[in-house]
Amino acid sequence: MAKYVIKRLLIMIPTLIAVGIIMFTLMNFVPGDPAQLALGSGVHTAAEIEAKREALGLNRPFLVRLGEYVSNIFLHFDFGKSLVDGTDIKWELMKRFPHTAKIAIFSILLTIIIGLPLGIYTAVHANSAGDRVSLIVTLLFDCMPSFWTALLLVLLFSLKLKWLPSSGAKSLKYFILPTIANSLGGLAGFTRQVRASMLEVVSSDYVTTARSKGLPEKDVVYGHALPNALIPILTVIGMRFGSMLGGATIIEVVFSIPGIGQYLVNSINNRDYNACTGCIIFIAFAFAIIMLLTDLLYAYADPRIKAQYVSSGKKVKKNG
Amino acid sequence: MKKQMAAAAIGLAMMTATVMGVSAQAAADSVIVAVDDDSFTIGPWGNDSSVRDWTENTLWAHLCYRPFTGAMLEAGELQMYAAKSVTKVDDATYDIEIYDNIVDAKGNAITAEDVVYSYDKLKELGYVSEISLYYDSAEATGDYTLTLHLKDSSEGSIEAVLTLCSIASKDWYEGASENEINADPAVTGPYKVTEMNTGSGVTMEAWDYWKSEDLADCEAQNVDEIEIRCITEASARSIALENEEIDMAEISMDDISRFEDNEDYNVTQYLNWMSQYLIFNTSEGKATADENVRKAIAHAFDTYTMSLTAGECVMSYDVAPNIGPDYVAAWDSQEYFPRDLDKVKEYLAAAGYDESNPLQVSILVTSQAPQQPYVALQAMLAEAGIQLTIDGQDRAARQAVQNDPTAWDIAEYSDSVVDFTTSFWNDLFGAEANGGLTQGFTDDPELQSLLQAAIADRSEENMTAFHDYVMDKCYMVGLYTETKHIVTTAGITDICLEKLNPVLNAMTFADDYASVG
Repeated sequence: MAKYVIKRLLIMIPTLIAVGIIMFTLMNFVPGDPAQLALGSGVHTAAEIEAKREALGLNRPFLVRLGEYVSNIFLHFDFGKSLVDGTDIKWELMKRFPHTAKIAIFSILLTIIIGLPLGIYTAVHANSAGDRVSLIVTLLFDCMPSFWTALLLVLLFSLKLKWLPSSGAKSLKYFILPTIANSLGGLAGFTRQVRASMLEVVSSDYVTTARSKGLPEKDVVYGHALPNALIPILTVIGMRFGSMLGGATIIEVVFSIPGIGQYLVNSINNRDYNACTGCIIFIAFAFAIIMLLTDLLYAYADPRIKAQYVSSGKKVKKNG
Repeated sequence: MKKQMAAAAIGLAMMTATVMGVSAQAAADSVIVAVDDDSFTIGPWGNDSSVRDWTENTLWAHLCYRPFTGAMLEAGELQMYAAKSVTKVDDATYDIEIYDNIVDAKGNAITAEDVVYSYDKLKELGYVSEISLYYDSAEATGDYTLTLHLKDSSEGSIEAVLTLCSIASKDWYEGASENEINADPAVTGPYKVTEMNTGSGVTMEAWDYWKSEDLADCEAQNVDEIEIRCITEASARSIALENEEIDMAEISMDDISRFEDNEDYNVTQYLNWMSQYLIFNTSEGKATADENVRKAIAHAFDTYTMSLTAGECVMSYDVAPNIGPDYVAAWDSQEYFPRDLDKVKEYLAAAGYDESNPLQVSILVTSQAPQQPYVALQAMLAEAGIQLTIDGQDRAARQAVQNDPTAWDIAEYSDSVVDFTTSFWNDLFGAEANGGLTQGFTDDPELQSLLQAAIADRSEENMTAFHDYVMDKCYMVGLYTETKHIVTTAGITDICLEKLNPVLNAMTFADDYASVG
């Protein structure tokens, strides 16, 4: 198992290096002069711009800059400095990540807490009135753009009822509305995924056998059906959580939450190439880590997969 | 026109506090202010941002403070801040004595060496163009005395240099981590940072400041605690104000009616920093190199129609409205490129264009800015037989394109009058500031001569000579300046708007003021 984890971590390295190279190359060819951006919007002479270009090392060959950039990131975890305000990008990312992580964790928890039982219920009671109502309600949420849901929530809970703050990230209560707005959209997909997975399993022979043995329905569903339906559900949770860690951009903008998504949007708007590249690599890293954890969870959810890991580990041992 | 004049009157008044006759309390416990920018730093030196605009003088001592646009050192209008005195040696040299008891929030004593370091550091970082343009060098002549040298001694340069550089301790800055500089800085101004959340906001608290007498306006400590909260969405700021989450915010034109004539709020109207103008590319081979073409375009539209979608605006009769002290009020009563389709035809014919050979030009605009004014311009020009292509480029791409003389015919620009109208002119037409040519690539010695005369002596005669020459040659057309609105809860009676940005720590409050926080 440990070897599998190490192998996966090693595979991440070329993936992330490739992301770094692609991003740096793309940003290098985007129109606009980073030296002028770094100097700000005032009037600057050609000599000042040239001096800044020299100071930023922009006059060096592309491959030299690329090599230095990639090695700084992967050897020193140094994403460089923002072209716009000169701040350390790693510092900015570290300061902003907790806000994004909070939204992602709370949102995924809310999705699981509502979506999992709802999906199980709709599968066990397929084609019932409850199933149809759940389908309509979740699809309704799915059809509503998240920024619109967010504004409706603000109008109701902030402006009318005055229960919750409309913007900011000062304490946990500031995350209630963003979490709801961020979760509702994905709820339909998740619920339908749970329903589909469970439907496949509840009609299988071993579930029929469990029922015929007289096991209570709760034990049949949660003890026999659910564990066998978990793999695709875990995949959906992992992918959704991974993408959320990259920043729920719209939610962060609407609720003025200083997360990774907002930083990325700002850096794109300001053409802050360094910050933009840093954000993308950071998001890729977060996504890769979450997908690795998801893969590891498969092993705990399904003994057959765990057995595969173990056997592949043994094979490596034999070959070695 | 009546509406234009009314708007102009509002603009010329600069600020209009809506509540009168409220008894004021000396200080308040706290105030929460929302700003529209979430990309900022609070260290001593950094790029422009709303947060920095509103806090730099509050957090960081500067040698002097400029209480209003155009305040001059020689007229005694500049307020001393960290400097105790500034003595002119010659046009480009000034002796400065600083207070001998300046300490930062971490207890570091500030000496002349620190001041010299601060200026050199800001020049090296290049964040403030005025420092790059005007500041040459400085040397400490004692523990608390220094000599400052300018590389450009034109009027207004010493004021810019004295007021635009934050003073910080060299030892602290060089030994501090990135986190310390941006989250817990050793400030030298009247407020220190108690909480800093990147991209979210900053909280400042009045501290046992080193100075207690002869305070500049920006050294007031009328509020114990100031919280700046970043809310980028305009509608979210209005909601936060109505939801009693903040005490003050800049509110968009779309939402302002919710707060006007509402006794729970005070609305302060002021002119935006930035004035819009169009400049013509006069480089060889361009249609707009022909004076007749430029005049045809200038007379083919009216700025008031362009401004309709921009909300309440003050029309320009030069580059900007009457903001700088050198502005000649008489310009506002003269005709400024009125829309006249007969004149357009004449000018087009003189330039060799007619219906069978229509004039085709392009306008370079920033794609992030609202496009409706340019669509209106396009429609008006089309009516006059001129085909206009709108070339929207994002800010960064535009920086590259606008320096290319082959890439555009007309460009939309905006700039601000920081001290004088001549400074604005210099940004547009100053050959030195623009690498030998103007923003419109115009090579005109007469233009430069008149500009230099106006900068050297801002007499009405010199100012009008340049103004008239630019109009006669039609090198540019001033458009308009938007008015903006700051809304506060009713308890805040004056936001001290002298420098266009409120002086947050110098606001005055009603007796019954209580922050929503």
